[in-house]
Amino acid sequence: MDTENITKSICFSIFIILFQQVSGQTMIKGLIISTDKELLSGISLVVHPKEGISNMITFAIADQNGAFQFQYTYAGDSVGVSVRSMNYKDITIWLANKSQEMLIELPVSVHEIKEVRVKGQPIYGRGDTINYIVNSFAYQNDRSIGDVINRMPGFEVTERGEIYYQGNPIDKYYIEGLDLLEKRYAIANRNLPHQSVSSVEVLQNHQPIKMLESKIASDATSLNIKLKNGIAMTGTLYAGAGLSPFLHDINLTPMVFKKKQQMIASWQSNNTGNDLNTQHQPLEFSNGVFTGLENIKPEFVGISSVSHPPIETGRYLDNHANLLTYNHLVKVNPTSELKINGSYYNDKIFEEGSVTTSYFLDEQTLTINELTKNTYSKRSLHTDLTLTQNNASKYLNDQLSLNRFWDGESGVIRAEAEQSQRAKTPHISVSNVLDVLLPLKKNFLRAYSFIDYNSSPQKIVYQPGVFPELFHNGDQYEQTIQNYTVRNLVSHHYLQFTLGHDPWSLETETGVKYELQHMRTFIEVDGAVLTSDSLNNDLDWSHSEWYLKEKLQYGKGDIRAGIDLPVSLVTYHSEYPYHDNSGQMRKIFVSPSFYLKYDISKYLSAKSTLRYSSELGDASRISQGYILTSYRQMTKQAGKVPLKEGYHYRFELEYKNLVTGFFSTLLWSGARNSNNLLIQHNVSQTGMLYYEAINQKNRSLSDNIAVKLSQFLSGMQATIDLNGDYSRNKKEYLVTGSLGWLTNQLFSIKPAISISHWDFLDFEYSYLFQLIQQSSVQAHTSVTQQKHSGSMFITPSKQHLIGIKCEYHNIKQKRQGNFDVFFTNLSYRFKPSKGKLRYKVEMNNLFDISELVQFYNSDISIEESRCQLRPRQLIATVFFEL
Amino acid sequence: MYAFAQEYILIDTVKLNCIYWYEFQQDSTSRYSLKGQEMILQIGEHHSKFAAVHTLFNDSVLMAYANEPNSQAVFDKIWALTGRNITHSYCKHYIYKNYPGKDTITFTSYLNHKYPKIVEHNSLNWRLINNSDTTILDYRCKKATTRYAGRNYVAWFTMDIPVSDGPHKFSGLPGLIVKINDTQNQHCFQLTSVEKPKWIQPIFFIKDNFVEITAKEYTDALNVRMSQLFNKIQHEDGITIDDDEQKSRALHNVKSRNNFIELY
Repeated sequence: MDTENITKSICFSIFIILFQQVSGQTMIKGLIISTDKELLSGISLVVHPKEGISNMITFAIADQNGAFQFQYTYAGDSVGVSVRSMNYKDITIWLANKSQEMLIELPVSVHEIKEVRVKGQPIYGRGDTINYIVNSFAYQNDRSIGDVINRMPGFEVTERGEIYYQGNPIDKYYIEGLDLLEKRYAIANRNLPHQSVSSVEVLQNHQPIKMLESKIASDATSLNIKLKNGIAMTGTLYAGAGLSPFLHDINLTPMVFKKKQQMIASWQSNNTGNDLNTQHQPLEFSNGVFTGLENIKPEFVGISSVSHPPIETGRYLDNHANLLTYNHLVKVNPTSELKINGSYYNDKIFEEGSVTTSYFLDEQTLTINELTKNTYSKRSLHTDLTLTQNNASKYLNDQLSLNRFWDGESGVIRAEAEQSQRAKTPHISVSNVLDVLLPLKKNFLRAYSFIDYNSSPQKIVYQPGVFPELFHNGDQYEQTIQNYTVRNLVSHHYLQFTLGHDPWSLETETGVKYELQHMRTFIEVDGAVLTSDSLNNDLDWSHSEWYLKEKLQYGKGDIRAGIDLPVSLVTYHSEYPYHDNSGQMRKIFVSPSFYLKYDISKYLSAKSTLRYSSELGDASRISQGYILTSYRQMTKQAGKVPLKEGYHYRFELEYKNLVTGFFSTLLWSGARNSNNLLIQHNVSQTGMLYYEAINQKNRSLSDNIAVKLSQFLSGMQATIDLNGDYSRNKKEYLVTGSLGWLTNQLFSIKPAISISHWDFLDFEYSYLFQLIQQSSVQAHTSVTQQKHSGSMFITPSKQHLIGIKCEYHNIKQKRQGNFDVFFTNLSYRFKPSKGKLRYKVEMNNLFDISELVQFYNSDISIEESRCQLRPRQLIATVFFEL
Repeated sequence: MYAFAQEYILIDTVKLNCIYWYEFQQDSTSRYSLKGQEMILQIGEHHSKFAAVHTLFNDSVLMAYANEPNSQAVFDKIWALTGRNITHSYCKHYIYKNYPGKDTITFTSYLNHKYPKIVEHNSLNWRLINNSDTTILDYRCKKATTRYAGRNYVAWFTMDIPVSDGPHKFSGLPGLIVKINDTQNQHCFQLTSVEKPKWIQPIFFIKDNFVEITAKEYTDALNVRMSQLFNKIQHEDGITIDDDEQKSRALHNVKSRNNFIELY
């Protein structure tokens, strides 16, 4: 020991003598060294009473200088000090129980540590597959497999039933390796009892196309449900009834899963405002893009409808809906499967409302009041037949779809006189999508083909006859029929090939879109077809587009960038006997775009997109005959294909600070476009409207600035949001023969707060302020809308849940008035701790608010629209687990 | 382009690998919200490192490929090995004890594209409980109690393994912690295996682009992430939840991720 240490120990000795006198405590200090005189750190020292080493008085760990110190109170006359370490000998020294200083020297001795291993984990993995043993995660109050999956590490199940694994949505939901439901797997996840499932397999980096397995990486995760038994039958059943009028809401969903075939069926029926059409329209997507959207039904004629306010559909939808779906999959052989998905929907929807429209004429304002009562009869069938062959040398997917609509609508408008209107808008679509992958050296060639045939023989009947001064020499007459039939064949075929060399990739796609269309419109007056050329259209046209799309992408470090360069050759050919407007047109279009993303710092990132586009619009606008588009409106196209050209830009700055919980986005976007056609509106003194597209180059421009701020307050478990938005749209329109600007401006601000700090209460509130201004050469209008909405859920115990939801709307228009509405919904849910039943009582629209007012503006008019709402209603529902 | 931007600093070699099964209630109000994760404590001569087993395995794979060119093929290989490994968001961190200095605890993590780092000093105050000895995994264990970050803990440590270390930030007892749980039994670490490495295993400190914060700020940030997840579900995905019951359950789900081991 050196002089310094000696001096230190003298001081220490004096100190501990004094200390003992005062406190009665013992203090032992010392140093640990090895036999090589090296100071040892991290050595454990324990002081034991003299009775034995199984008890401890105190302990210390030697510091980096080998020093240790004990300070304790113990009445015995002696103590033991045990020294333990990994690499030195274990020793125990017995000492008199008095304050003292010691030096411990330890000889080297490797400590034999007993190695142990416990076996058996509820999660095990092999390669890319992880198995979760369901029994290990299931608890008694779990019902469906979804409840159990939610508890498994790495999983998150949302309320809508979507499954997230490690923060990303799963790609496929297989049951025993079969993909019956595609993106509608929530039905199974919610209703399949966990008792029939043995394990849940997570297929990481799952490439559903077997041919690409181990060749093209996929970062998608899929899930496979492994059943305990060969067969599982299950489902959902609930029934609700209420007043008034008599209300019902029924859901019956049985399911069967077998090794080689699977079935899920559902029957749902309600008149409570629950829109079943959302379940009828399949939202299927693959590779991140929606497919089947081309099949959506077009409506060429239609009755004048009531404008729906921007509130929940359930507040105004007066429906009588039925939905029947059937999904069945059969495994033909180990690598092929055949699937049929069918859905039939019918609905009768009533709507009632009134519209007051003020037209600005050159010298006066014309006001028209209309009271509208409509009935929509909706009936449609969607069927898909899918054949998939998926093995290591081939991938083929073919889907044949038939969609049929038998829709009709009728209504009565009371203005000065009563006008009835009846439309039939049937539509049939037969389509086929074929997707084939072929190996090509080390890469792959993708061939895609889509063909769709559509037929829409639609018509509308007006009673009494309309436009008498035009069609009937000014005399009243019985009825007018506008017939409008469109038939077309649409196809799209392409080949795609990708070349990659990190950090670059180049995708080449070449293809052709071809469209063949026939359009026929004519007007019948009291059973006789009007033969005048200007009231007829009989148009055949074809459109073909050959294109080559090059997509170059770069990604490295903080930068992501890409350039798209599609070049297309478009050819139109039309035959139009009525208006002698047959002809051909050929044009090359280039629509380049560019994007760049750059991470400026840890918290801040910037994104920008620039796009130039030039394209041809809807070719049916080549028609020139007048078409009745409402009982007091006639429309005529320009006899020319619309040509649109312009550029679009978008800049975005994003700031995220996770530590402070502050998130914000600033967005600026805009577009500058020019069109070759302009719609001209003419209003006659009787309120008849003539819309005519004319050859007149015109411009439109739009700008939008949006700010989003969000702060999370962790102490309160609260989120505060503030969204602001300003947008301005300007377009040129014709006013007394020359071009003028019509400007729409929208300013909105929306603060919101949600608090979930308490276990028994959740609370949310938001406020929306909107100012809409419109100015044209003739007029200036401004509408202010305010909306307060709040909701509160109280959970006094796990069995009970009470919900209160309120909304207050205020709409104000200069010189027009001020409208207020206040909505309240109440609900109560009871779930007994045992049994298969669950009960719920709801009271909607407590204060029985009957209508809501909205304002709409156009360049020639202001419209005040009132929509009838669902009355107060009480519904009681019983849920039963099948 | 991938996770190669990190820097691996060799700080020690493994003397002992201790694996713990960490079971925790992610929802403080529900006994049914138990989750589990396998964690490893690598004890070296002077320093130790604590992380999820999956995390450590993934790091070793990334290390192995660190010198290969950044190609898709390499990425695919790495992904094939590491992709199956999942770590709960409450366990995605590293805890280095006695690093960089003696008695220093360095906590690093990855949260929403950021690398938080927390440096603390070991300040646990242990109370020894005599006459409660037990045997766990064939080790004779002694009992001690302490209070840390809003919870009271009961620990069982063994002097058969005379290393003053343990799971998470727990250390300072005269032997390895074999089991530790809070008195509410919401967080529990139980030793499942102790093995000496069969070959030389380095202990790396993984250096990233750190943002230094406090332990409280980290807990807050985890809560923010949960809230973001909820907002994402409700707003960004365009989902509106009309049904009261569903909405209440959605809100409850956010609340239910409220139980990180450290409470402030």
